[in-house]
Amino acid sequence: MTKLFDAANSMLKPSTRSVSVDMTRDSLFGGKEMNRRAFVSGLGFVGAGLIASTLGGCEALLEQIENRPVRRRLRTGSSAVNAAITTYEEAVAEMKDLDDDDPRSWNAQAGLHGTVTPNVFNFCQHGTNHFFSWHRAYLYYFERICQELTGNSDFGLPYWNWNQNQQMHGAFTDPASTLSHERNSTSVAGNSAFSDSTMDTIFSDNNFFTFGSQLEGSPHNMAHVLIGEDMVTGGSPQDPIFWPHHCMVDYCWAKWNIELENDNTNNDAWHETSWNHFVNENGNAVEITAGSTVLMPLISYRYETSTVGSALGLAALNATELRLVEERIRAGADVRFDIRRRIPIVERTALSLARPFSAETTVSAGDFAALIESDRATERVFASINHARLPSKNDFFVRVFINLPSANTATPTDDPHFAGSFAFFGTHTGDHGKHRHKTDYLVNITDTLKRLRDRGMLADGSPISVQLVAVPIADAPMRPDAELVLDSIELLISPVMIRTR
Amino acid sequence: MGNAAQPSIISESNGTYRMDLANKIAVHPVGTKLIGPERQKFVQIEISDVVNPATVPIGFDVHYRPGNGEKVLLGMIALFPPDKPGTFIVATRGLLRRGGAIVVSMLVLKEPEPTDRIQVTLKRISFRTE
Repeated sequence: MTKLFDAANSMLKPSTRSVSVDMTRDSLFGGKEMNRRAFVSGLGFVGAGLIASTLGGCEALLEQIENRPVRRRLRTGSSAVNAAITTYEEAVAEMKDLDDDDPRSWNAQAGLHGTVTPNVFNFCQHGTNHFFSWHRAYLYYFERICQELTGNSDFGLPYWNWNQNQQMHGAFTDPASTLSHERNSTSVAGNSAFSDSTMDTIFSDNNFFTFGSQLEGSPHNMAHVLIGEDMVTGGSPQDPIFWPHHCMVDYCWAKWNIELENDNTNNDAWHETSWNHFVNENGNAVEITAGSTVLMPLISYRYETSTVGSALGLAALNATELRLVEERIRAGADVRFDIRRRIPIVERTALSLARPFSAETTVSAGDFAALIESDRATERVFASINHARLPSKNDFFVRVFINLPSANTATPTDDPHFAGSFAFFGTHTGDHGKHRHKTDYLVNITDTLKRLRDRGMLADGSPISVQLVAVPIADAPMRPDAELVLDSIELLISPVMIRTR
Repeated sequence: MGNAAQPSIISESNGTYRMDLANKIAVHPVGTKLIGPERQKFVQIEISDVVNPATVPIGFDVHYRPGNGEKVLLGMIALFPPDKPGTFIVATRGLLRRGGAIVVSMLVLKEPEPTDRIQVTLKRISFRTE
């Protein structure tokens, strides 16, 4: 079977830096009313339609995408789930039969994550911005290996929805099953990390980074430590429940992103981070970018929907609804993020608490008049800050102001010149030393420009200036030499980011 | 797509707390200098050092205790593996007010052996608006 993700990803790569699709209700349905459930559920098909059109209408590939494996919620009374469990048992047995020097073997796959003794992490991402993306790639290639070794190309990893079923599925506690394993507990019942209240709080966060951080620190970590034994070590994938547990984490991300319409980061550095330690179903090394993982639930597998907290599962689309979605998509949806214009401000500079940054650009407010005087403008202005070297410690964050050369740490964030802020959360070297992530920052300054204009604080001829102010993290000790070294600062004019709405 | 600018951090105190099997609770005041406590979206807990050679599973309840009233559970975090430091956030749900306090309680999730030693250093408890 053609591996959908590889094929589609390689062909889409140049144009899918953002995988979002223009789906505002008005534009999608030409003003026709369509309920949210149908609308959101259609995304799986949207993904297929987009990719097929990009590939020149490759019907075979489209069919494969539409028939991609289903990852089902572990439960009793479902023949489809039972079949998935049976295949999973076979796959575990097959992988354990392979020699350890086969990169598809059980031990080799677990070793990508870490080891039980010594208890260390290897390549896995924890406490970083790639917790979601790294584990999604890990699950994806593991699933392909399972498919290959069992000869079942339809196999989808089942997920353990610990919010709905707090007791581990019986297949994992049956001593006769290859899925059984020594554990301290086979239930998460009674622990608030898995409660509706906790999940609702986490799912109500629409910030990609903090949503991921909360999900990781609470239910994800708690499941590992409650189950215990191997699961509480770097070698946790030695326990077969690891994979359905992380499949649930991945489902949470997919549900938050696709079903509940929250947006992933559009940060370049995040999208371009790549890994080359995974292997495909033939044991050959592959390279994959974090950005490409966001496509996976749309083209490589799909999740059987289920309830998490008070966020209900969504029903499938009917044929009419599918057709409506398809019509709109075939009419064209730009999935690219084009930069229409770059306005360099400075190259190679540094920022510190003692030394804020301020510089005038070569453009004035009049140059942006059409953009900032209309609510219907289709372009936005971003300050793009590209860093060269982070401070060794996260002792400060940075506030961005427009046209306020006197801005300093005391300038409040409700000042009309304030545009936004950024910090280095998750970009430290907590990545086990295997990779370095270079994070750049975009701050949308369009609303600030509009605000200044509305208040008469930005005349046509006023040059636009940008200020960056380092703000200490409260009274944390600030090293005098702590600097954020910047490669460049520029303004970017870009079309409105096309969104999965 | 989301905001590429990443979350800012606002903190009021860099008080350090050390916990062990005999001292499992840290109380961090929502001080008077904190601007807009009700706007602080997250409590951020920076665990800088963990001594747990037997890797006894541990977690932490994070409560908010108002100046006068019953404490409210904000959330729960866990260390994975149990000897790995890290930085964690828990949503405040807009409950913070001046005069209240954050109460972090260490939970030992498996009965430790008499010889087991657990020491956790909370380097900083801070508050974030985004």
